[in-house]
Amino acid sequence: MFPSRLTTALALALLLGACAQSASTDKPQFPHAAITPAPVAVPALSLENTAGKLTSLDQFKGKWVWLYMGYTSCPDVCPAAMSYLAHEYKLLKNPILVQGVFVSVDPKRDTPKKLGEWAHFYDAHFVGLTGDKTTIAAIAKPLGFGYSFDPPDKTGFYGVEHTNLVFVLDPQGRYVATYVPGDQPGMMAQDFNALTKEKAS
Amino acid sequence: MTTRALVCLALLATPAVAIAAPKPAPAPKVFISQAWIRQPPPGMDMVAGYATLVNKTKAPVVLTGVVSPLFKNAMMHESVRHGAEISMQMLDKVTIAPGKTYEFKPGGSHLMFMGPKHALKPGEQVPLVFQFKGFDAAATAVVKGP
Repeated sequence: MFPSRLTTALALALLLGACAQSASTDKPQFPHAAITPAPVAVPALSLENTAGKLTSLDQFKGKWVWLYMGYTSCPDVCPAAMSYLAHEYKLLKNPILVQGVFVSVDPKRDTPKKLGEWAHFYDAHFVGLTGDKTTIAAIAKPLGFGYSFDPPDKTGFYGVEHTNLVFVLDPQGRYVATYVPGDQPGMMAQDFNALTKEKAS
Repeated sequence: MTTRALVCLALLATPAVAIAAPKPAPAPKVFISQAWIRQPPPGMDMVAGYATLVNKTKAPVVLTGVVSPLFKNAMMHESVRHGAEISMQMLDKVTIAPGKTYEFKPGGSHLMFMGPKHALKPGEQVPLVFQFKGFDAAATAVVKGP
Protein backbone atom coordinates (compact mmCIF):
# COMPACT_ATOMS: atom_id res chain seq x y z
CA MET A 1 0.00 0.00 0.00
CA PHE A 2 2.85 2.35 0.84
CA PRO A 3 4.27 2.61 -2.72
CA SER A 4 0.75 3.24 -4.02
CA ARG A 5 0.18 6.00 -1.45
CA LEU A 6 3.54 7.48 -2.41
CA THR A 7 2.58 7.39 -6.08
CA THR A 8 -0.71 9.12 -5.31
CA ALA A 9 1.06 11.77 -3.24
CA LEU A 10 3.61 12.28 -5.98
CA ALA A 11 0.91 12.52 -8.63
CA LEU A 12 -1.00 15.00 -6.49
CA ALA A 13 2.13 17.07 -5.94
CA LEU A 14 2.82 17.11 -9.67
CA LEU A 15 -0.79 18.06 -10.39
CA LEU A 16 -0.71 20.87 -7.84
CA GLY A 17 2.57 22.04 -9.29
CA ALA A 18 1.13 22.05 -12.77
CA CYS A 19 -1.96 23.93 -11.55
CA ALA A 20 0.19 26.50 -9.77
CA GLN A 21 2.28 26.96 -12.89
CA SER A 22 -0.83 27.24 -15.03
CA ALA A 23 -2.33 29.78 -12.62
CA SER A 24 0.83 31.87 -12.66
CA THR A 25 1.00 31.92 -16.46
CA ASP A 26 -2.74 32.63 -16.79
CA LYS A 27 -2.58 35.51 -14.37
CA PRO A 28 -2.11 38.81 -16.20
CA GLN A 29 1.17 40.49 -15.44
CA PHE A 30 1.17 44.18 -14.61
CA PRO A 31 4.68 44.96 -13.38
CA HIS A 32 3.80 48.58 -12.60
CA ALA A 33 0.38 48.05 -11.00
CA ALA A 34 -1.01 47.00 -7.65
CA ILE A 35 -2.72 43.67 -8.33
CA THR A 36 -5.81 42.44 -6.47
CA PRO A 37 -5.25 39.13 -4.61
CA ALA A 38 -8.00 37.65 -6.81
CA PRO A 39 -10.19 39.07 -9.61
CA VAL A 40 -13.15 40.97 -8.14
CA ALA A 41 -16.59 40.93 -9.78
CA VAL A 42 -18.04 44.36 -10.59
CA PRO A 43 -21.85 44.49 -10.89
CA ALA A 44 -23.22 45.09 -14.39
CA LEU A 45 -25.67 47.77 -13.30
CA SER A 46 -27.43 50.28 -15.53
CA LEU A 47 -25.46 53.44 -16.17
CA GLU A 48 -26.36 56.39 -18.34
CA ASN A 49 -24.04 57.04 -21.27
CA THR A 50 -23.26 60.40 -22.83
CA ALA A 51 -26.16 60.02 -25.25
CA GLY A 52 -28.48 59.69 -22.26
CA LYS A 53 -29.05 55.97 -23.01
CA LEU A 54 -28.84 53.18 -20.46
CA THR A 55 -25.91 50.81 -20.67
CA SER A 56 -23.54 49.01 -18.28
CA LEU A 57 -19.87 48.15 -17.83
CA ASP A 58 -20.76 44.76 -19.35
CA GLN A 59 -20.76 46.30 -22.82
CA PHE A 60 -16.95 46.45 -22.68
CA LYS A 61 -16.49 42.71 -22.06
CA GLY A 62 -13.79 41.37 -24.36
CA LYS A 63 -11.68 44.49 -23.83
CA TRP A 64 -9.50 45.67 -21.00
CA VAL A 65 -11.12 48.63 -19.24
CA TRP A 66 -9.24 51.55 -17.72
CA LEU A 67 -11.81 52.90 -15.31
CA TYR A 68 -11.44 56.24 -13.57
CA MET A 69 -14.09 57.61 -11.23
CA GLY A 70 -14.45 61.26 -10.28
CA TYR A 71 -16.41 64.38 -11.24
CA THR A 72 -16.00 66.88 -14.06
CA SER A 73 -16.01 69.96 -11.79
CA CYS A 74 -12.82 68.60 -10.22
CA PRO A 75 -10.22 71.22 -11.19
CA ASP A 76 -6.96 69.48 -10.34
CA VAL A 77 -6.87 65.74 -9.73
CA CYS A 78 -9.41 64.38 -12.29
CA PRO A 79 -8.11 66.40 -15.27
CA ALA A 80 -4.56 65.35 -14.36
CA ALA A 81 -5.64 61.69 -14.16
CA MET A 82 -7.56 61.82 -17.46
CA SER A 83 -4.67 63.58 -19.13
CA TYR A 84 -2.37 60.80 -17.84
CA LEU A 85 -4.75 58.12 -19.17
CA ALA A 86 -4.97 59.84 -22.55
CA HIS A 87 -1.18 59.93 -22.83
CA GLU A 88 -0.88 56.26 -21.87
CA TYR A 89 -3.64 55.37 -24.33
CA LYS A 90 -1.78 57.11 -27.17
CA LEU A 91 1.24 54.90 -26.45
CA LEU A 92 -0.74 51.66 -26.90
CA LYS A 93 0.16 49.46 -29.85
CA ASN A 94 -3.27 47.79 -29.80
CA PRO A 95 -5.59 50.50 -28.48
CA ILE A 96 -8.60 48.59 -29.79
CA LEU A 97 -8.10 46.11 -26.93
CA VAL A 98 -8.48 48.82 -24.28
CA GLN A 99 -11.45 51.01 -23.39
CA GLY A 100 -11.04 54.19 -21.34
CA VAL A 101 -14.09 54.79 -19.14
CA PHE A 102 -14.86 57.72 -16.86
CA VAL A 103 -17.65 57.22 -14.33
CA SER A 104 -18.93 60.39 -12.69
CA VAL A 105 -20.02 60.13 -9.07
CA ASP A 106 -21.69 63.55 -9.40
CA PRO A 107 -24.75 63.03 -11.66
CA LYS A 108 -26.31 66.20 -10.22
CA ARG A 109 -23.83 68.40 -12.10
CA ASP A 110 -22.61 65.96 -14.72
CA THR A 111 -25.30 65.77 -17.35
CA PRO A 112 -24.74 63.22 -20.17
CA LYS A 113 -23.86 66.03 -22.60
CA LYS A 114 -21.34 67.62 -20.23
CA LEU A 115 -19.87 64.22 -19.39
CA GLY A 116 -19.48 63.34 -23.09
CA GLU A 117 -17.72 66.59 -23.94
CA TRP A 118 -15.48 66.19 -20.93
CA ALA A 119 -14.43 62.58 -21.63
CA HIS A 120 -13.93 63.17 -25.38
CA PHE A 121 -11.82 66.24 -24.66
CA TYR A 122 -9.13 63.91 -23.32
CA ASP A 123 -9.52 61.22 -25.99
CA ALA A 124 -12.21 60.71 -28.59
CA HIS A 125 -12.25 56.96 -27.74
CA PHE A 126 -13.01 57.49 -24.05
CA VAL A 127 -16.56 57.22 -22.78
CA GLY A 128 -18.30 58.91 -19.88
CA LEU A 129 -20.93 57.18 -17.76
CA THR A 130 -22.93 58.03 -14.68
CA GLY A 131 -25.83 56.67 -12.68
CA ASP A 132 -28.01 57.23 -9.67
CA LYS A 133 -26.61 57.31 -6.15
CA THR A 134 -27.37 53.64 -5.40
CA THR A 135 -25.83 52.39 -8.64
CA ILE A 136 -22.66 54.43 -8.19
CA ALA A 137 -22.31 53.18 -4.61
CA ALA A 138 -22.78 49.56 -5.74
CA ILE A 139 -20.06 49.89 -8.39
CA ALA A 140 -17.72 51.76 -6.02
CA LYS A 141 -17.96 49.14 -3.27
CA PRO A 142 -16.14 46.16 -4.86
CA LEU A 143 -13.48 48.56 -6.18
CA GLY A 144 -12.88 49.97 -2.71
CA PHE A 145 -13.49 53.41 -4.24
CA GLY A 146 -14.26 55.94 -1.51
CA TYR A 147 -15.99 59.27 -2.07
CA SER A 148 -17.82 61.93 -0.10
CA PHE A 149 -19.31 65.30 -0.96
CA ASP A 150 -17.97 68.43 0.72
CA PRO A 151 -20.45 71.07 1.91
CA PRO A 152 -20.97 73.82 -0.71
CA ASP A 153 -18.95 77.03 -0.32
CA LYS A 154 -20.49 80.52 -0.53
CA THR A 155 -20.55 80.33 -4.35
CA GLY A 156 -22.43 77.00 -4.23
CA PHE A 157 -19.42 75.03 -5.42
CA TYR A 158 -18.74 71.75 -3.70
CA GLY A 159 -15.77 69.46 -4.05
CA VAL A 160 -15.89 65.69 -3.87
CA GLU A 161 -13.31 63.83 -1.87
CA HIS A 162 -12.48 60.66 -3.78
CA THR A 163 -10.01 57.88 -4.43
CA ASN A 164 -7.52 58.78 -7.13
CA LEU A 165 -6.75 55.47 -8.84
CA VAL A 166 -7.19 53.93 -12.27
CA PHE A 167 -9.01 50.59 -11.93
CA VAL A 168 -8.22 47.91 -14.48
CA LEU A 169 -11.04 45.53 -15.42
CA ASP A 170 -10.07 42.40 -17.34
CA PRO A 171 -11.89 41.29 -20.52
CA GLN A 172 -14.32 39.35 -18.27
CA GLY A 173 -15.24 42.63 -16.56
CA ARG A 174 -13.48 41.77 -13.29
CA TYR A 175 -11.41 44.26 -11.31
CA VAL A 176 -7.80 43.00 -11.33
CA ALA A 177 -5.38 45.90 -10.76
CA THR A 178 -4.89 49.61 -10.03
CA TYR A 179 -2.49 52.23 -11.28
CA VAL A 180 -1.67 55.53 -9.59
CA PRO A 181 -2.34 58.33 -12.12
CA GLY A 182 0.80 60.22 -13.06
CA ASP A 183 3.03 57.69 -11.38
CA GLN A 184 5.67 56.18 -13.69
CA PRO A 185 4.56 57.81 -16.97
CA GLY A 186 4.56 55.43 -19.92
CA MET A 187 4.72 52.30 -17.76
CA MET A 188 0.99 51.57 -17.83
CA ALA A 189 1.10 51.55 -21.64
CA GLN A 190 4.24 49.41 -21.47
CA ASP A 191 2.47 46.82 -19.28
CA PHE A 192 -0.50 46.66 -21.64
CA ASN A 193 1.66 46.54 -24.75
CA ALA A 194 3.47 43.52 -23.27
CA LEU A 195 0.17 41.93 -22.23
CA THR A 196 -1.62 42.36 -25.54
CA LYS A 197 1.50 41.24 -27.45
CA GLU A 198 1.52 37.99 -25.47
CA LYS A 199 -2.18 37.55 -26.18
CA ALA A 200 -1.72 38.16 -29.89
CA SER A 201 1.15 35.65 -30.23
CA MET B 1 38.63 119.49 -37.07
CA THR B 2 35.24 118.34 -38.04
CA THR B 3 36.04 114.80 -36.89
CA ARG B 4 37.47 116.06 -33.62
CA ALA B 5 34.40 118.17 -33.06
CA LEU B 6 32.20 115.16 -33.66
CA VAL B 7 34.21 113.06 -31.20
CA CYS B 8 33.94 115.81 -28.60
CA LEU B 9 30.25 116.04 -29.18
CA ALA B 10 29.89 112.30 -28.85
CA LEU B 11 31.87 112.31 -25.60
CA LEU B 12 29.77 115.12 -24.24
CA ALA B 13 26.61 113.34 -25.24
CA THR B 14 27.57 110.04 -23.60
CA PRO B 15 26.77 111.03 -19.98
CA ALA B 16 23.48 112.50 -21.14
CA VAL B 17 22.57 109.20 -22.82
CA ALA B 18 23.53 107.30 -19.66
CA ILE B 19 21.33 109.54 -17.54
CA ALA B 20 18.44 109.26 -19.97
CA ALA B 21 18.59 105.43 -20.05
CA PRO B 22 15.90 103.77 -17.94
CA LYS B 23 17.03 102.40 -14.60
CA PRO B 24 17.18 98.62 -14.49
CA ALA B 25 14.07 97.14 -12.83
CA PRO B 26 14.63 96.20 -9.19
CA ALA B 27 15.14 92.50 -8.62
CA PRO B 28 11.79 90.81 -7.98
CA LYS B 29 11.01 89.97 -4.38
CA VAL B 30 9.44 86.71 -5.49
CA PHE B 31 10.68 84.92 -8.59
CA ILE B 32 7.77 83.24 -10.38
CA SER B 33 8.44 80.59 -13.03
CA GLN B 34 6.80 77.66 -14.81
CA ALA B 35 3.36 79.24 -14.56
CA TRP B 36 0.80 77.30 -16.58
CA ILE B 37 -2.90 76.69 -16.76
CA ARG B 38 -4.48 73.44 -17.83
CA GLN B 39 -6.78 73.98 -20.80
CA PRO B 40 -10.31 73.45 -19.51
CA PRO B 41 -12.59 70.99 -21.33
CA PRO B 42 -15.41 72.70 -23.24
CA GLY B 43 -18.10 74.16 -21.05
CA MET B 44 -16.05 73.92 -17.85
CA ASP B 45 -15.93 77.17 -15.98
CA MET B 46 -13.11 76.25 -13.65
CA VAL B 47 -9.57 75.24 -14.26
CA ALA B 48 -6.39 74.67 -12.30
CA GLY B 49 -3.18 76.63 -12.67
CA TYR B 50 0.30 75.95 -11.39
CA ALA B 51 3.52 77.91 -10.78
CA THR B 52 6.79 77.84 -8.88
CA LEU B 53 7.47 80.75 -6.50
CA VAL B 54 10.84 81.53 -4.93
CA ASN B 55 11.12 84.04 -2.10
CA LYS B 56 14.21 86.13 -2.97
CA THR B 57 13.95 88.35 0.12
CA LYS B 58 15.44 87.95 3.58
CA ALA B 59 12.02 87.86 5.27
CA PRO B 60 8.98 85.57 4.96
CA VAL B 61 6.45 86.61 2.30
CA VAL B 62 2.73 85.90 2.56
CA LEU B 63 0.73 85.14 -0.58
CA THR B 64 -2.92 86.02 -0.02
CA GLY B 65 -4.38 85.49 -3.48
CA VAL B 66 -4.04 85.63 -7.23
CA VAL B 67 -6.05 87.52 -9.84
CA SER B 68 -6.22 87.47 -13.62
CA PRO B 69 -8.11 89.74 -16.01
CA LEU B 70 -9.13 86.62 -17.97
CA PHE B 71 -11.05 85.07 -15.06
CA LYS B 72 -13.84 86.28 -12.83
CA ASN B 73 -12.37 84.78 -9.73
CA ALA B 74 -9.43 82.75 -8.46
CA MET B 75 -8.69 80.83 -5.29
CA MET B 76 -5.84 78.87 -3.83
CA HIS B 77 -6.54 75.23 -3.07
CA GLU B 78 -4.68 72.25 -1.82
CA SER B 79 -5.37 68.65 -2.78
CA VAL B 80 -4.81 66.73 0.43
CA ARG B 81 -4.04 63.02 0.27
CA HIS B 82 -5.39 60.50 2.75
CA GLY B 83 -3.88 57.30 1.34
CA ALA B 84 -5.36 56.95 -2.16
CA GLU B 85 -8.16 59.42 -1.37
CA ILE B 86 -7.85 63.09 -2.14
CA SER B 87 -9.82 66.03 -0.81
CA MET B 88 -9.61 69.72 -1.62
CA GLN B 89 -9.04 72.42 0.95
CA MET B 90 -9.05 76.17 0.44
CA LEU B 91 -5.87 78.02 1.32
CA ASP B 92 -6.35 81.53 2.76
CA LYS B 93 -2.65 82.26 2.58
CA VAL B 94 0.67 80.69 1.78
CA THR B 95 3.77 81.75 3.70
CA ILE B 96 7.11 81.27 1.98
CA ALA B 97 10.22 81.42 4.17
CA PRO B 98 13.26 83.45 3.01
CA GLY B 99 15.05 81.78 0.12
CA LYS B 100 12.50 78.97 -0.02
CA THR B 101 10.50 77.67 -2.99
CA TYR B 102 6.77 76.99 -3.01
CA GLU B 103 5.25 74.92 -5.78
CA PHE B 104 1.69 74.93 -7.02
CA LYS B 105 1.70 71.57 -8.81
CA PRO B 106 -0.77 68.90 -10.00
CA GLY B 107 -2.08 66.80 -7.14
CA GLY B 108 -0.85 69.31 -4.55
CA SER B 109 -1.46 73.01 -4.02
CA HIS B 110 -3.05 74.62 -7.05
CA LEU B 111 -4.62 77.84 -8.20
CA MET B 112 -8.27 77.43 -9.09
CA PHE B 113 -9.50 79.88 -11.72
CA MET B 114 -13.21 80.33 -12.22
CA GLY B 115 -15.31 81.99 -14.92
CA PRO B 116 -12.98 82.29 -17.92
CA LYS B 117 -13.86 85.36 -20.03
CA HIS B 118 -13.36 83.28 -23.18
CA ALA B 119 -12.46 79.71 -24.19
CA LEU B 120 -8.74 79.27 -23.57
CA LYS B 121 -6.56 77.71 -26.25
CA PRO B 122 -3.22 75.90 -25.85
CA GLY B 123 -0.32 78.33 -26.11
CA GLU B 124 -2.39 81.31 -25.01
CA GLN B 125 -0.72 83.59 -22.47
CA VAL B 126 -2.64 84.50 -19.36
CA PRO B 127 -1.54 87.48 -17.25
CA LEU B 128 -1.57 86.81 -13.51
CA VAL B 129 -0.98 88.97 -10.47
CA PHE B 130 0.10 87.21 -7.30
CA GLN B 131 -1.00 89.29 -4.33
CA PHE B 132 1.38 89.26 -1.40
CA LYS B 133 1.03 91.15 1.87
CA GLY B 134 2.53 94.55 1.01
CA PHE B 135 3.27 94.00 -2.69
CA ASP B 136 2.10 92.35 -5.90
CA ALA B 137 4.09 90.22 -8.33
CA ALA B 138 3.11 89.81 -11.98
CA ALA B 139 3.60 86.67 -14.04
CA THR B 140 2.39 85.15 -17.29
CA ALA B 141 0.95 81.67 -17.42
CA VAL B 142 0.82 79.58 -20.59
CA VAL B 143 -2.23 77.46 -21.39
CA LYS B 144 -1.30 73.80 -21.95
CA GLY B 145 -3.50 71.30 -23.79
CA PRO B 146 -4.73 68.07 -22.19
